Amino acid sequence: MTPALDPALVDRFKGRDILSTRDFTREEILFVLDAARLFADGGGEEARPLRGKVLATLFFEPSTRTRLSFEAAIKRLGGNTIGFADAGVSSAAKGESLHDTVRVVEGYCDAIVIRHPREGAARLAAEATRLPVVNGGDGSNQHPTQTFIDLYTIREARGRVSGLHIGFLGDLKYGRAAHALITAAAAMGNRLTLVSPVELRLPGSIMEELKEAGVKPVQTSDLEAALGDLDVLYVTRIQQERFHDPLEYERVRNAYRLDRKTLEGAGRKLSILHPLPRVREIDPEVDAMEGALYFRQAHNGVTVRKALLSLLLGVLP
Amino acid sequence: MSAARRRPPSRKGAGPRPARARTAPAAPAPQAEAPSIRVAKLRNGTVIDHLAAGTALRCLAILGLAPEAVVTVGLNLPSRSMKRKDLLKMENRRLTAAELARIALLAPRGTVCTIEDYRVVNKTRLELPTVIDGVVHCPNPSCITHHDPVVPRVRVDSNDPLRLRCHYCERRIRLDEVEFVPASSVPAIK
Repeated sequence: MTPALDPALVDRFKGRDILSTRDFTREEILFVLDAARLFADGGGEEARPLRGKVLATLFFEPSTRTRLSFEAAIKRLGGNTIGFADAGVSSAAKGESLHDTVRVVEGYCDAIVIRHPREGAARLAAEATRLPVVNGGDGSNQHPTQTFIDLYTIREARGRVSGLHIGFLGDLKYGRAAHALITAAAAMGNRLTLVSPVELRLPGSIMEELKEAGVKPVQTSDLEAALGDLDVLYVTRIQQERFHDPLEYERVRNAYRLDRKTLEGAGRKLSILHPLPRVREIDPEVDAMEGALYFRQAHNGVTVRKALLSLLLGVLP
Repeated sequence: MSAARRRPPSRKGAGPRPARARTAPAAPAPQAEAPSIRVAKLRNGTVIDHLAAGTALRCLAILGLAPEAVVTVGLNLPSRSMKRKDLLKMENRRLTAAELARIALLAPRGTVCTIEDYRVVNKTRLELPTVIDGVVHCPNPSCITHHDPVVPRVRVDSNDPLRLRCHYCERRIRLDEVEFVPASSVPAIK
């Protein structure tokens, strides 16, 4: 099943950390998407190539999809997991530094997935250990495996991940999944339109970085005007937990709601993605529409993470 | 004085130039740079030239000089290449690599001359390493460097224009956001 993968790239991924989409070239991103295709629909599971491997899931912040899909991925490939899903039950609650936690855990496992509320925590963890570390989300910075899943889902639906017009809707200020995908989508050569309330616009530093790379995203608050020309719409939740000021959250929580009526102005083939969970931003009546891909996207999490874990652990079926 | 005014700008204060003023005249000199640098000659010490106008006092602040240090400051001096520049002359002072990295962050085009017995014995252009450890705090309050015991590290994405990024949280650091780690705790530069 592996001959299709470039051996030089397979080597490059062995033992590698997955910390930020900025760390990957366009070629490497496409390679991961190719590798993931080999793991779709139960691919790679029969041989149980990760038998005996242990993945530590250190979740200092709540997670459902990321943690469960990593667990499902390694278990389907024959491996197992240890870890915690709440910082309150870890030694962090006793004041242990992240560095020390990682140094201890590295003796128990073969790879580490970490989610942490502080930005940069995954990179710090990676520096503390010789094991591959995967960033499962660090504050509002990055969520690179989600980006691989998003791009994989886009390629499934549109046949390509470049030359598309991709819209981003919702919380572009704090949304790490959006930040990571915006950076990668720009690097892959897509047109970007950013739709958000003024208070939740993309941070200036990321916008500046895009402009330096020659990408000029359109920024607007008008969803209906933006919809007509989009190939993909990436919707994000307004994340209450990121707001320091509850009044600010109240002002923007209902800023957008995607329903059938709103989508009348969209192209017939619009693909709608969402990293989930959703709250109010997509009406459940949209779920049945052809372009609603968010549950498919969540399921792809296992496929892509199976591929990533196999590559990092250097054990391909 | 007229002879001194015709001296080339490369002398950086070395040599027998009579002292008359600490700073430049208000109007730009139409011809050469030399006429504006009317400062005392330096026997031993360091001259930092080609600082961007307006940065000299900040450079002094981050160097944390001793109260008794003898320093000449030139502000907004006319410059052929920069239009306006600042300049620092520090008597009996050598800069460490860590101090040079700090200065380079503020003055990526700066030049440093080491003076011994009125002669320029070494002249270098300030250069930033690609990674700077323990010199600049990340301005992002949610960055792990503010919550775990870790030496702050910034990456230099570009020298000209100067672009810095926190190695950990990946946030771009604007120059007006740069907050230096106290000079006393500066570790080695990679």
